[in-house]
Amino acid sequence: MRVVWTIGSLTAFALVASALLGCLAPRDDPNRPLRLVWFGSADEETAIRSCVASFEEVHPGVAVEVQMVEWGRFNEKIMTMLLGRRPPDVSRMSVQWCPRYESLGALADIRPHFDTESLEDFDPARLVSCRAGEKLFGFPHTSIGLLVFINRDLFRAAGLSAPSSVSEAWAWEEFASDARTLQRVAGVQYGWGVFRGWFPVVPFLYQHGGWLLRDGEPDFANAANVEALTWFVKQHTDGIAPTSSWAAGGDPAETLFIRGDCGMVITGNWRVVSFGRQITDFEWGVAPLPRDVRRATNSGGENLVVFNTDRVEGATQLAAFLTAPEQMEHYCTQSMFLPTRRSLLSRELPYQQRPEAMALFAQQSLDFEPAWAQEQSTPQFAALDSALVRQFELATLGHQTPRESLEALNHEYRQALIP
Amino acid sequence: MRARTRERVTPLLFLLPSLVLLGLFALWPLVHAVVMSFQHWRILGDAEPAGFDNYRTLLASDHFWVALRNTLVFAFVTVPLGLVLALGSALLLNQPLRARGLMRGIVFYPVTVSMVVIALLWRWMFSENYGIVNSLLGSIGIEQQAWLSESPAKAFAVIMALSVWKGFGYGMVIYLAGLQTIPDAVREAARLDGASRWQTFRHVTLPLLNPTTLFVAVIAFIGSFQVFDQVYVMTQGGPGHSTSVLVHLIYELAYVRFQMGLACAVACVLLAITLILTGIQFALIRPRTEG
Repeated sequence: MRVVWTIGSLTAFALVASALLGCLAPRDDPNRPLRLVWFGSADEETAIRSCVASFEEVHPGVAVEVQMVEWGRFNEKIMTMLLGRRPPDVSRMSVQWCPRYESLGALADIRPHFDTESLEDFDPARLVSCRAGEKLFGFPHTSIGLLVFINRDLFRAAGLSAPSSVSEAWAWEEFASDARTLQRVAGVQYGWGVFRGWFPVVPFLYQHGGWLLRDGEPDFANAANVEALTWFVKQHTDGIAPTSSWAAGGDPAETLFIRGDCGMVITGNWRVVSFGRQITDFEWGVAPLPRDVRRATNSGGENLVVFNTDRVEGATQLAAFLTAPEQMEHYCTQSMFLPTRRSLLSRELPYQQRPEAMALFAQQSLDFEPAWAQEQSTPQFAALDSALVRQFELATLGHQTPRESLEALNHEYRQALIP
Repeated sequence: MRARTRERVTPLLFLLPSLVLLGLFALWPLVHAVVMSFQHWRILGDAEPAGFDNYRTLLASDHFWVALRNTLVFAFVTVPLGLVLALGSALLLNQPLRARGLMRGIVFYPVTVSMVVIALLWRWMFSENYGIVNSLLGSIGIEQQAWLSESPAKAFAVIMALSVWKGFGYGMVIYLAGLQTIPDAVREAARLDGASRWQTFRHVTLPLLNPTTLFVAVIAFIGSFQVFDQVYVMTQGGPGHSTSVLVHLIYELAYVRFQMGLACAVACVLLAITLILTGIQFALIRPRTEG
């Protein structure tokens, strides 16, 4: 009986003690390694580890712990770390998410630890996403852009040629006409397609003269946007572009392109490596985005943000080092991203694959205005991510009209931050 | 006196480790979720009291009602269908067939595979352009269908079919165990009394399987209210919210919109529905198991 008492008491004590210990906040240790959270492909992991090794060489005695997380579970991971009072010191973060974390008070103001004059080299349209008023909470690191990927074999078969610079970009009707010719003459199932997301749809609104916000208020349903989305939807309902790519369970337009069932696909530079690996039975290339009343693209990418921890100064040094020209060039050329520094954007970088495609991405990226970056950098816009996709999906699949979708977005934007 | 106290306390001590774990990892989060459902909380910062705001928001939300309807449809279609298939296959595979073990293994196999893997496979099978289902339909002259993208009804039907196919093997195994507890003598007596095979099944086997049916039905109902993986992988609740279910709504509110209070309110509604329906099942089936 005594044994039972002893075992029972010890088990209960051990469980309660471990539970209580687990609840205690970790103690700050000034010599602990800097925590860097990163997401990305194997190439990106290799590139960032190499940059971190260079930082540790330059700063002996400062260790950096790189923690890789899945892109799709990034928010869950960071939120869990914040709740556990153990946020990263520095994290790679998609530009659209930054305002959200900033508004939650999670990011630090790095101005006291950094000479802000050295920011001049950064692309102003991208620097906007690292600011909240006067506050600066990080540095732009990599950019992503959009182009039209084309199946050159099908273009040859249809007797077509694609524009090779942004100044020669297709007008919308020329683009649609070439897509129909690809279907009719080359016999491809779909002329063009676009990946399921808000990112490649918004440029069509801008190209038609549209905008998203006016005086800080949502204005998605302006006349230009309604017309642009109506044209976009009609391309799908007419069978020129695949409707099924717009459903989460449908066939992605990129898959249709890879399999030779779609003549053109609008997607981003992150596809250059995978297309190079996956497409072996036809020749592919890139062309600029079509234009309407003006040229426009979308720009996203990642910033390096500094969290409010006990190591803000060291974290700022790390973030600044990783976004310095040499490290940025190394990372971008190894992992096929666009840089965010004008000094790098203005010259041809030694990309490992398809440097000509990356040069066109860089050229097209200049068609993204700082005002558009501004309207995409509000906390509400960050919270609107899934709503944008859902509303464009509903319009493209014909479940509601383009106007209804855009009006719903006005409503969702106003509701976005209500608890 | 001391011996009597020990006699009372000893079983409690044996239970203590489990009770502490249950309390810490099940009961406390449950209570905390109920409390949070009456608060506004966006993860960072302090929670603010919200009264019944979250519940009022839910009642006014179309998304909630669609998710609730879909969850109920899912439960009331897949559970009975799964029970019938489980019982049918158990009756069949309880017969002295050749390769019976292999066939039991084949029926049970999908239960052992991850739902995410199965859902991905089914998504490919039902692909509009490359799926084997459309290919087979095409070979008999039926035009290709956009199973998962065009109509919410079609997409949800595919999700339900997958769930039944993946899950009924579990019920079959339980039914097989239940069938093997029924003494042959009982059925033999019924046959001697002139009962047909159907009458024997209807009036002897089925009533004796009532405890098994209660167990399988309760487990299946609880599981069906927690449907998530297959919806997330195959449609992400779309088009729009048309194939969303309650757990998917909880996920979206908690981890996409960070509205923890609202997410907890949905979780509480889900808990209440599950408790009520489980209670109803006990009330309907239990008296027959005790007769």
